[in-house]
Amino acid sequence: MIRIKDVTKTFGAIKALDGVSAEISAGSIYGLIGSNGSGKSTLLRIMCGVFLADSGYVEIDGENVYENSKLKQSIVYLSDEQFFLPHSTMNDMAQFYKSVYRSFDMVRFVKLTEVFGLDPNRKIATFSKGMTKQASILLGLSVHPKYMFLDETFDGLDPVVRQLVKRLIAEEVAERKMTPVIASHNLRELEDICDHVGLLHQGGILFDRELDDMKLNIHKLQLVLREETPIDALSPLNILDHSSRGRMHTIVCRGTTEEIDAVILPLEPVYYEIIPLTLEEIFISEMEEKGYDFKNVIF
Amino acid sequence: MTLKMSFSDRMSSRGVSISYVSFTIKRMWPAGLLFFIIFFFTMPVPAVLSLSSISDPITYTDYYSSFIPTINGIFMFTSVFSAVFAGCYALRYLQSRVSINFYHSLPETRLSHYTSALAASTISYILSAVINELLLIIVTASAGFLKHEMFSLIFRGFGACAFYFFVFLSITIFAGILTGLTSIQFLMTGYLVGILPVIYGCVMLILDDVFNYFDISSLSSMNVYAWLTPIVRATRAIDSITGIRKSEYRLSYFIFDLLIIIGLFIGSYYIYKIRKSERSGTPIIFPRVASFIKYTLLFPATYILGFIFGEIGSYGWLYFGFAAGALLSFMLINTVFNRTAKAMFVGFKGLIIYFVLFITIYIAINAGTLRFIDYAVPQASEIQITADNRLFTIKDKATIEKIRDQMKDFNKDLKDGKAVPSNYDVSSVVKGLFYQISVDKYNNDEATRTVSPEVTYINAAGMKMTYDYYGIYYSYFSEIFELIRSSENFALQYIPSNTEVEEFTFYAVTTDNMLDDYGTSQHEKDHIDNEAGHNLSSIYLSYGLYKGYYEDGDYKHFDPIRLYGAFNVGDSEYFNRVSIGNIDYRVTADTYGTSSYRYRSNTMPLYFDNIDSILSLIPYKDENSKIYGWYSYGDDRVNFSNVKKFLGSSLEDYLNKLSLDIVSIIIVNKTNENMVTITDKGDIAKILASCASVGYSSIISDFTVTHPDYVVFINYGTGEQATSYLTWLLADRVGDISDIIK
Repeated sequence: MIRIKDVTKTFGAIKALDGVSAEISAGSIYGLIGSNGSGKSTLLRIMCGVFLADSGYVEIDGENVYENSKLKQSIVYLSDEQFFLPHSTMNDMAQFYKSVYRSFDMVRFVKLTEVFGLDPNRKIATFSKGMTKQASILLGLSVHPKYMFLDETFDGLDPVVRQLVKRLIAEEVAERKMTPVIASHNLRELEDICDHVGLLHQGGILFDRELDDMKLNIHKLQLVLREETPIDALSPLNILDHSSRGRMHTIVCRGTTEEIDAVILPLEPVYYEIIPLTLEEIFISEMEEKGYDFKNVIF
Repeated sequence: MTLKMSFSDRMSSRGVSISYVSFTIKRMWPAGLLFFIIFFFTMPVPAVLSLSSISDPITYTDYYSSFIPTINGIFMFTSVFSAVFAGCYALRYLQSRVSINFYHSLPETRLSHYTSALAASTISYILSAVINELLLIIVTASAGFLKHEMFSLIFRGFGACAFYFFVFLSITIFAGILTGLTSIQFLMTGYLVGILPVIYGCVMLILDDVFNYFDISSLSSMNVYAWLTPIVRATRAIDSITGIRKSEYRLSYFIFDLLIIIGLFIGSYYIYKIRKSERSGTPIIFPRVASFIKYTLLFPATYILGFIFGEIGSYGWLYFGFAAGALLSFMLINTVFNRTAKAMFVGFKGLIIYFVLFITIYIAINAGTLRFIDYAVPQASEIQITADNRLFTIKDKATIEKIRDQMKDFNKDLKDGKAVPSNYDVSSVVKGLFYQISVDKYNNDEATRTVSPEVTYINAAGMKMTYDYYGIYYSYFSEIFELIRSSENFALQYIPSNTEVEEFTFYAVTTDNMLDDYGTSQHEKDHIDNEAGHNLSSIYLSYGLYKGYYEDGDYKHFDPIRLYGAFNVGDSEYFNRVSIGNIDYRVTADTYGTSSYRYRSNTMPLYFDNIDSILSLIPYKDENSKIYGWYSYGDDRVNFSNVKKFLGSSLEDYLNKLSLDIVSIIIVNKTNENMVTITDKGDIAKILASCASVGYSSIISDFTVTHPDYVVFINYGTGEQATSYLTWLLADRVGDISDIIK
């Protein structure tokens, strides 16, 4: 379990994190959403012991992570900017990882190089951007870490590799109870892998929720009411967003499907359908309820 | 049962991973290879080439005295280079945000990273250095040169270089922890090594300017700079090993540098622990350090540019130079620290404050308003005056006041331009710097001058101040000298009533044994006369008169008075008066008493009247007795039969020999500009007896009085070898040659 408590971090006059608190359960796939400059990378670096928080703390499995080499044996951090030893090949890096991580699995490494189609004897400096990303991911996965912090990892990967990486992460979670924390500004990337998301904005967590909970309690309806049915009939619904086009109403509202059916069905609408919300739509609705213009938050 | 922890486990428990350290050492192989190549081509390879040179193979003596010392010197340079390179290379991971994010996310503590960097730097140097030293020893042994002394020289050289490798490595590592870019780390290393001597040098320039005609060279001697920068200490360490020069490397230097190594290595680690990773990539990690460095650099930059402007232009340009130096260096430093020229005026208010302070303090020093500096006029407290290398203290207040007033007037005259020092440095005559002078030209000022003594006093700030050797007219000092001579302390210093002669020692320098083994030291090869005195290059015979005195029944010991007499034999490019004077007056205790003539004669050049009486005083049983040499390579023997043979049986005989090489003497009477040219050898000998002696080994005593009316040109040799020397007639001996001069 990762416990982040009141973490504040300032760089000169800039407050990157301001009293951030969160709990990440072991075995969950946590998506850390935020726009550029929101503090995602800073938080990840504090979590893996690169930075020391100005105040607050990060505990992983009950221990402070900073300068804790024993704890960090179970943590791998994949930065948005990859670093490799100068003039090294994949094999050189594997040897390096082996010298620092006791759990580094050489067999797994070899297998992953085959899966990703990377030549382990080729100098990494000759790799493309996407290939270097793949290299850092497969080296990280070969460690079999308990915690993996990924910073904008899917950027630069082609769709096929992206899905491959997601699958590998999911396998590690399923088989070894790995807890990945994936930082991204791209909601669509996280939608099909994360089960818990936290939104960072201007150094603070705006919300932090399980995805299923969010999806359970917020729905998008499309319906056409009978001509004699007044619009007020929909007032029992906890409406977050309502738009209409002619007689077609599109409504985003809170509540379970049963609760919503209990209000709509008696009205015998001409047309009524609950359609799935994307993560982005859920976020938009949540943010607007909090009074934020979502576009200002993310883009 | 308790299992003993392995070394690896113990280190791991302290957060140091042996496997990581090993990996880092292996990764440092390019640096190790570079060092190996550099050492290889500067140590064993030149040794092989020199030893195997067919046309002119190197001798043992040259190998010991010249080749290995040169190799040691180069090795010191390459060791320092290696230290800086290794320190920058090992810490390069700290100098980029990308790399530091990676390394600090690894399961390694900062101690592990730091230890790895140090271990890798050390091993890459040590392996390369040791292998090449072994190769050098093998080459030396294969040439049959590996005697005990040679091995010791090579080994000690290695030790000194390795020690200073660690000194400079500790400084470079410290610089790397304070900085966030490799280029700035390199500059910071230079700053840490050089800023103190630069600042001190600027302060000395200011004081030199302030104290005008005072010689404050003791404050700016290399001994001071040795404490300010390890470069001087490293140079001295390697120079002292050769043994050819007197060792200037002190044990205190070694202890100081050892403390630097320990302190900086430990301090660097603790600073690393608090060093913020996010600051990597910025030039200076700690903002306050950046400010400190900025202003310590501003000071010398401000002063040096002002100094240059002041020297090139007039005094007013000095202040313009200060302003320009401050502003330009401020802009440059800001640009470097912020990595953009847009930031060159950041903190401009601080610059204004600094500049105002600088100008205020500078003007205050020059105006004499800072009370802790005694401006050229001693306080009326105990004044210590040295004259003729004898230090004594005048305690009589009235005398001190008079001296003080004299100095004040004199200094005022200097500043007001009434006393104008000539460009001619009188001391250069004493030191025997020869120059060509046309017989048609002469310098009036020189002829009227006497040799200025070194008048020194201790000022209120405790600084030893010495009036510089300028061509100051004797008259300016005459009253001071009269005061000195008439003071009881002066007389007592020479011949206290309860003094006994304690010891009488001769020293000889540069004998034939030394020449054979080590070559000439301070004498050029052309001093060696192949015809006469070929066994000798030069002999300095000086005797130290150790005085003691009784106080309350206890015997106390003064510093010895050393009265030097010297002569050159051999190639007579130099000539000299043989100068060991009326010893009869000095060495016999029962004739030792107070006499105005006696201490007057102490201050005169000592003339050699009777060589037999001199030689009879040398404590030897036979002519091959042991004589102590200044440079002690064991027993140096002077064969006095050769001395006598060359010198002749009397002074007259000696001078006659000298005069054979002199073509002519020209004496110019400045009052009527008459010139007399003397070519007769007998007359030449008589004139030589009446001149103040010149030559490297001569001594013109501090109170030598020359006749103001005459200048003497001694023309020696012919054709390309022709040389002319300038001297003066001694005031009390002009009468001896009145029939010759007009």
